[in-house]
Amino acid sequence: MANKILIKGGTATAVYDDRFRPLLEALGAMEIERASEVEFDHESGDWIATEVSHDGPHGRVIARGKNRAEVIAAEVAYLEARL
Amino acid sequence: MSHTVTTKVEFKDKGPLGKAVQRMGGRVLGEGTFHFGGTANAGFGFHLKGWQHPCVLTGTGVLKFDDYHGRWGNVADLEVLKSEYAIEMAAQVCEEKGWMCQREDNGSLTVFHPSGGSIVVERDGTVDALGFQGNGCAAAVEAIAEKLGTETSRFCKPENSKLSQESTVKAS
Repeated sequence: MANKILIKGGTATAVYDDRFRPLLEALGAMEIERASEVEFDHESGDWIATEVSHDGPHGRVIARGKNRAEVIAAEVAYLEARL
Repeated sequence: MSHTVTTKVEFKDKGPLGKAVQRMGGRVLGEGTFHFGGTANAGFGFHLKGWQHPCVLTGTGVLKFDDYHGRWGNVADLEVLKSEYAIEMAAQVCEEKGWMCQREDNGSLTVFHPSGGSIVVERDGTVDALGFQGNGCAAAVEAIAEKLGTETSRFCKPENSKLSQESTVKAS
C-alpha cells in the first residue's frame, strides 16, 4: 500500500492509491502514467514486477517472488523510494 | 502493477494559502487592490517576509508580484510557499472529510486514513534555487534551507547570475 505524497518543485507526486485522490485533486489536475507491470513467469513460477520507464530502458526487474502480494508491496516500496 | 500520479500544485483556495503565508512568517492582507510595478493589482494580497511589496493572487489564479530582479524579494520563497500551501490544503481536505491528521516537527503532514494505514504528505528536503535570478543564489539557498530545517544539497546554476525582467508568473 502506497503511503507517501511528495511535494517538490511545486508538484505533488505519488504512487497512485485511491486514498490519495481527494488530497491530490484539491491541489490540481492529476496526470497518471503506468510505472510498472506485474506478470507471472511460468518458467520460474515467480511473480515478477518490472519497471516501465518513460525516459530510459524498460523491463528492469524491481521485485520477484512466489507471493504476489509481497511482490506488489516490494514494487510499491521501490517506486516510492524513487519519487 | 502501479501507476504514478503527478499534480501541479495550483493556488486555488485562499484559506490554506493564508495559513501557508503565516507559517512562513508573512502577513495576510486579504482582498483588495495593491499597487506595485506601476500597476494596480486586484485580488488576495499577502506579504511574504523579506519582500518589499505584497504578492497578489488574482481571481483567475495568476500570482502577481514584483521582486525587482531579486532585490525586493526572493522568488525561491514562492516555491517554498507552494509546498506549504500543498500541505495546508491537504490538512483542509482531511478536516472536511473528518480524517485525523497531524503536522509533524519536520513540516510534513501525517494523515490517518479511515480505511487503514497512514499517508505522509512531505516536502522534498532538497533545496533547489530553480527560478532564483540574481547574485545571491547561495544566500537564497541558505534562507530556504533554514526554513525547511535541513539543507541536504546545494547546486547553484550558472543562469542564477542572469537578471530577470519577469514580474508576473502564472501560479501553476
